[in-house]
Amino acid sequence: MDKTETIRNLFPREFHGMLKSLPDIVEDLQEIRLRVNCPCIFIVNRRERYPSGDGKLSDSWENAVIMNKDNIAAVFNHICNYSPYAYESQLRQGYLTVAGGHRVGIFGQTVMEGNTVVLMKQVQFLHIRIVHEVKGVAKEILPFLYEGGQILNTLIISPPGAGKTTMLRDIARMASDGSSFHPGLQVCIIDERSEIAGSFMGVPQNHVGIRSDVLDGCPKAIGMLMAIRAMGPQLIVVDELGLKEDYEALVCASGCGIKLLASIHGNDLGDVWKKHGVERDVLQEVFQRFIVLSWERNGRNVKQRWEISDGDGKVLGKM
Amino acid sequence: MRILGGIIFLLGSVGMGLFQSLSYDRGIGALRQAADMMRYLISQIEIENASLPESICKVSFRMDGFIGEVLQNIRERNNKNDGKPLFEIWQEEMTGLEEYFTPKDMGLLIHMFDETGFYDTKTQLQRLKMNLEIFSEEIQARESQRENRCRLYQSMGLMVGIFVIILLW
Repeated sequence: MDKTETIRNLFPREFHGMLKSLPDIVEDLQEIRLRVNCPCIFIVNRRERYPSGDGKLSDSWENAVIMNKDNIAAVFNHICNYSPYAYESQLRQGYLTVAGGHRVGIFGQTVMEGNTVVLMKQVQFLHIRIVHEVKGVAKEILPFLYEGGQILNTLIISPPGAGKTTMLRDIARMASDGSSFHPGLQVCIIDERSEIAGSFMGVPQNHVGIRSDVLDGCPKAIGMLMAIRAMGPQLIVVDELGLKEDYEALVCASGCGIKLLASIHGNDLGDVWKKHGVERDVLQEVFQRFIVLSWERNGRNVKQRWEISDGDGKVLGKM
Repeated sequence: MRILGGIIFLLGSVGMGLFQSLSYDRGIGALRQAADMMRYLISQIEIENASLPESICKVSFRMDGFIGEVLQNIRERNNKNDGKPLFEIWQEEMTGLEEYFTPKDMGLLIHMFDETGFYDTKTQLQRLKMNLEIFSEEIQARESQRENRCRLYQSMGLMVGIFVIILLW
């Protein structure tokens, strides 16, 4: 199924008129924002565009489609396949992964039990994040990640929206597929939030490599131990380290001789060390390569920047 | 010739009686298939926590007969993803089964998924189980009357035939 279709399929039939311009903008479309009693917004190349009922896009929201309560409910039900119960665990965390690997963030009224969100009801805000699989984005970086024919433990550091998951996915894919200068590795991807492989009904919607196994929706710490016991990985891939258990599992995996590829939020290395004081030693001990991502805007164009350094902070390459 | 005509007429009316009793049997068979479909759907949701389209898809591979065919059509139409809600597709396809069920049973089947969108598995399952219970009770009631009904239809067929022959003789 092509990308335009997967996005159009998120909406009931009555909204297909609004999506007429989709084929022209699909490659640059990053987000669709639906908010109750507000105009529908398309984020195209980091700019806001407003669709009218007949599908025309404009920079002003004068003629934009206004989403009322019933519209949002119809879209939400359609996205959930009319079975919100089947997405209970994801709804509790405030998102859904749908066919095509796109992610739908949902906000509404929470039902709490103590300090735990048990349900998100009265969903009135939807944030559809369009996945753009970019193959080859890690091509120039990959040679820096190998030493003596072996891949090194690598940590990707990036602020939100700089392409951290895209980079992670592409490195995993290339490591798994192999090339003329390095053999393919058995890769296990612990995809807690279904962002790396974008699995839908267990099937990865993104290319993650011919030797990759995906564990979808599992907490990283538990998933890493399962992978070590059951799947014989040579490389484990995880996204967005955060919890104490994640770091403990990293140390365990590293101790078993398994290579690691992970990502973490941060603007740069210093920022990460400041935020993750206690875990800093673990990160410095486990990882040998650090990739820092950023993006810069040049007029209408947005370009990704990367810098790769070793464990001693020496910069090995940049773009 | 008269005797031959009379015999043919008698056979015809006995045949009609047999046809009615076979139709009654077929109705019970259809209800059983519908009940099986509900059991399979319930198990998909209970064990796999599958969404409705996924449950219907998996059950469509499992079932044969006219219900299996209808489920396959629903699966194919839903997979086309043209934006039509699942319960609309379900209603349109189920309407084609009118010859197998009574109007009351058709009403239940057609509107089975009208109330979708339950947030919890328990309520979704309760709705399906309630429908299954209604169908099971209906099957039981018809089974208990089956012998009498079939005998009635067959006897009526024979008696009508004999009566008309006597009348015309």
